[in-house]
Amino acid sequence: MRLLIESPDFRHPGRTMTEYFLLLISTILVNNFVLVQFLGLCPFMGVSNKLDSALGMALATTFVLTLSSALSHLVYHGLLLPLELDYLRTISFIIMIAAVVQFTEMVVHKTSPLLYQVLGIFLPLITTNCAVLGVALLSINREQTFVEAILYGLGAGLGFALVLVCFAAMRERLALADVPLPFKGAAVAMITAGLMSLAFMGFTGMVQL
Amino acid sequence: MPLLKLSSPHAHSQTSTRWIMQQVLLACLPGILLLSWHFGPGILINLLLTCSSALLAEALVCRLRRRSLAQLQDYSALVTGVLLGVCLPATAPWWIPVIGGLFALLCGKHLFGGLGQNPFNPAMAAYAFLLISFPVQMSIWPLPQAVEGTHWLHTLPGTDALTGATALDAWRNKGLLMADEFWQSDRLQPAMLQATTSVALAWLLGGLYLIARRIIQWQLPLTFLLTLLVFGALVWGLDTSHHIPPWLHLAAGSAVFAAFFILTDPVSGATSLKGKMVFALGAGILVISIRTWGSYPDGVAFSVLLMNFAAPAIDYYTRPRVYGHDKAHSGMKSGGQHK
Repeated sequence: MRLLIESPDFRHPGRTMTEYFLLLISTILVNNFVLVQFLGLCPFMGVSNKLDSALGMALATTFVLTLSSALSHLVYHGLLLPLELDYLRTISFIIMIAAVVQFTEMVVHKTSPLLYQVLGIFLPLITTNCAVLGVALLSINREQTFVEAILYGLGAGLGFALVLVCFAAMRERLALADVPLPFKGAAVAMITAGLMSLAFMGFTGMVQL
Repeated sequence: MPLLKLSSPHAHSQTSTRWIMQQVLLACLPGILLLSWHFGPGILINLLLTCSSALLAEALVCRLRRRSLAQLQDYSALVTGVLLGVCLPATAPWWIPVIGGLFALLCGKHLFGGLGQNPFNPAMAAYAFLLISFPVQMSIWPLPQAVEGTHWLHTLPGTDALTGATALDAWRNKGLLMADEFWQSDRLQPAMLQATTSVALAWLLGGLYLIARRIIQWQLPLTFLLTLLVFGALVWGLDTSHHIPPWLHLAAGSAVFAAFFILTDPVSGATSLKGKMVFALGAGILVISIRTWGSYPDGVAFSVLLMNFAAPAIDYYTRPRVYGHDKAHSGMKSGGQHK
């Protein structure tokens, strides 16, 4: 019983659909994890060479983000707070994320061996995607309810997916461009990402949460 | 080394990059003239500075990459300079257009390989860069000269123009005023609006010339402007006393200019007709959203950049049907075939 009362679900009852929608828009566009908060840049740069693998990576990461955000909420409010083990949250989240990624890896391996091969080392490396741990910790800091935590994870994943797919399509085009030699490859990708981040500044101030 | 011997008649199309760029410059003329008529000679000085710094940057890159300087003669750097120059406020200090011109050509165009390979519209990239870096200098416009009673031509030596916010900027900061109270409280706005409307009509004229010359397709500007009107009206309908009325979306700000001169950029936009319309639709929705809920008064530059960013993906999913095939290949299916 104490567990339920501790949970923020009881402190903020009756969130409206509009607020959930705004939360989703806010995490996808306004506070995009990659281009505005600069989290998860390694897979953003690493897996954006080809559109197909980017699409697979985007789906896998969205899945992991949503699941781990929900699970970390449960672990924190169901286990850590009642046992007063608050200080263990970072390490317990890391273990939980590793488990979720392992689970995703097995699913991908079973359902799409081709995608498993294409993603290669980047699939287990979702564990070290700082956006995943970032979402779990930020969600706790913002005292979100369970539904909000799920939407927050989903929004972060969709934002990551959107940006990664667009960036991959753009890089496929850039690969054919006559880029000056010193800027070929990663350098011009960084500059493109910078300009994209500039464009995302346009969303500033759109949703105040 | 001609491999084929062709017999006459030799139909010759006059379409070349140089010719197209010249036509675009020509189409910009009425807009530039009206802008400088209303807002003072600062516009012309800005244009001079952006164009010369753009040409300088292009020449520099040609030297560094050991390319022929003949590239400068295709007028493309000049067009970028002009498109950036007309967006800058007339009272901007001299270094704003210079930095903008250099950024547009160096970071917006040549880092990506030069003409025809830039993923972002260089002029808009430079504008967004300037707006974020120097927000104060970029948001003060001189009031149209009709307000002061005397035109700037009569007071040219020692001009000390009044400055103020543009209509969209003033609307953003009107606070809790109702719409009709806003129009009554700000006596300068009608003159400002009259000036911007006439400038918008001048851009429309230039745009129609480009359409008549078949340099741009009419579907794209039409989709964009219709989106602004329809989506703008929907949003306005939510709260008619506080949201921007749809006609103001067209009359103030750079919407008409962008519709004909920026969105129609053949390089950084989408390729197929369907893709172009998706591109324009998305840009329109983004402009309305940023103007209504965002913190920037005129979201055109950001919207264009965001859609530029999405354009390769739009292209990927809006491939036209190949003649002889039933359905267009798009998305993962065709991607899979490449493997």
